[in-house]
Amino acid sequence: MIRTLIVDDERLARQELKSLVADLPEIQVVAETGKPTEALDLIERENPDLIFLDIQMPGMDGFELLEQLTGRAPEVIFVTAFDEFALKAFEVNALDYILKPVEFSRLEEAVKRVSKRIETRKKQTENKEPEGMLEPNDQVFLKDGDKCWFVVLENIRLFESEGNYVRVYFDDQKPLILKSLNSLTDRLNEKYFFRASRKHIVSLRWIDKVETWFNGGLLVILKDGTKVEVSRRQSVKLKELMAL
Amino acid sequence: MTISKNYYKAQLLGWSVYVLIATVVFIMTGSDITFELFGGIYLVFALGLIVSHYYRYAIIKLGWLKKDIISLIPRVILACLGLAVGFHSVYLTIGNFAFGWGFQFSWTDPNLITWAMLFFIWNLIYFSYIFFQRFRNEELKNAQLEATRNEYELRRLKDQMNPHFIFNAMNTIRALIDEDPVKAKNAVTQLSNVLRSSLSTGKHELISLEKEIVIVKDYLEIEKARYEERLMVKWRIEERSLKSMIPPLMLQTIVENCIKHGINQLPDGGTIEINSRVVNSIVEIEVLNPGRFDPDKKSEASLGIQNTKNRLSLSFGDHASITYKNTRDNRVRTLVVIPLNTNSL
Repeated sequence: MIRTLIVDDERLARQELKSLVADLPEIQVVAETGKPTEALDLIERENPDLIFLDIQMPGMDGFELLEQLTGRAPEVIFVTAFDEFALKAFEVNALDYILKPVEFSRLEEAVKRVSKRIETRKKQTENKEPEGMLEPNDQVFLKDGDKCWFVVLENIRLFESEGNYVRVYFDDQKPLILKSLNSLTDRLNEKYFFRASRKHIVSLRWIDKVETWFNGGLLVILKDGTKVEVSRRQSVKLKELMAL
Repeated sequence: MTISKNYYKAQLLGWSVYVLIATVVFIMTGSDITFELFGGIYLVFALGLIVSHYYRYAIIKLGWLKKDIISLIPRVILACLGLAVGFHSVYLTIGNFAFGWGFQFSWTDPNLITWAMLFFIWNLIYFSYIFFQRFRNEELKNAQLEATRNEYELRRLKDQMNPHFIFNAMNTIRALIDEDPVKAKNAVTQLSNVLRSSLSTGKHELISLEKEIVIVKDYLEIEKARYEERLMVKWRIEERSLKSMIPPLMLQTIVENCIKHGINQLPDGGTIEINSRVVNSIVEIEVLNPGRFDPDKKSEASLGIQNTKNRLSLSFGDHASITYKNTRDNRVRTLVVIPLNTNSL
């Protein structure tokens, strides 16, 4: 069962989508809303596996809504009538989208794709962690200007603070997002991510080597060759972590 | 670049052909092959190159390249004669000095005619090439112009069709088919009317406000089906204003903007008010919609307004205007002023 939320400001558009997914037995619509702010509450409360998300909505568009999520991002299938701008973003980043009026076979295809991802994720998270923390195979939504990505947490190597922004390093991308490093620390599990200094959070599974640095500090070298200095205080912690 | 490269090639080739023909003619006529004879031929080759090269320089400087064929013919003939005389005297001077010919300049020398013919052929080739190039460039320019025009037309059509509106309307209709088939049928008719009018609008410069209102009403009915209780419309149209003429789809564009930037941005929607009245043989068309606009922000909407402004001034000169401003009660007021009677202009 895929627990699904429908977000679209038009009642008839929601109605139409509901009648289409009625023929997909794996989809279970748990809630629907026309208001983006309400959608945020619903995502928190219902913790859906999937959202059908309209892009153009009053007050907050679909991308802005995803940016506001504090927890893990559910799977998202964007639903839009015609938006050259957004379509380009989708194609570049291989996000799932369907066009209004919705063709059933396209819908089916998109659902098939996300349900595969949902299944693998569910298998991996069988031994549950404390609530509110992000898991390595959880995905997060990142937006930098017109570009956006869904990134699985374990692919992120490094968070680097830049003023009020944080630069996120993954694959060959490094978008700048409007978040503070402190708010991220609260949500990242210490088992997988380590606060190296005031400026950096590194992924423990991406660490290749650790070298001693001056003043009793450490230098962490990531698998892609990036070097990150660890502050003196945090070096003590890191040594404890790495020791058996 | 390529033209000038071709020019040098043609020069060398042309004068070489002369050398070849002259040599063959001399051999065939059984002349003695002497050093002086060949010296003469090669002197023509070298002098020909130099003289014709400077002549070309003069052609460009005198602006002959831009002249038409009729005014060129007398000039070219005169130039050929002048060139022949000048060429002949230099030819003799150098020949006498280098080969000890001992020839005197004579107006009856048949060589003069040969030189004149040579230069005439040179001109023929040169100007044929120029005219051919000019013709080709013209064709190319025409093709490019045509392409730009087509592209513009296509974009205009696409803008008018407003794909976002069409696909959303289709989606609404799909949902209505199950929920309210009668409403769905009406929506199909209304959508057809709107599409038809936007396709035929290019044909007329102006249409009556009355006709435009019919289109806008159909358009708004579809949007009402889509936005439901979020969109309300109030009309207050003065009878006398109905016959006034406006650029087609002007009111439609304004109302579309009201929805896109007003209603669509508001979770609870609002009311669009459309009023028209006649004041002293001037028609005022007023559209009020909830929301605010940012005068500093260059948006699609301001582009649309600019477009309407241009169309109004094309049709009415200074007698029409469009303005928009934020009102105190959190609405945007768009005001179009046009003359009541277009014929009196």
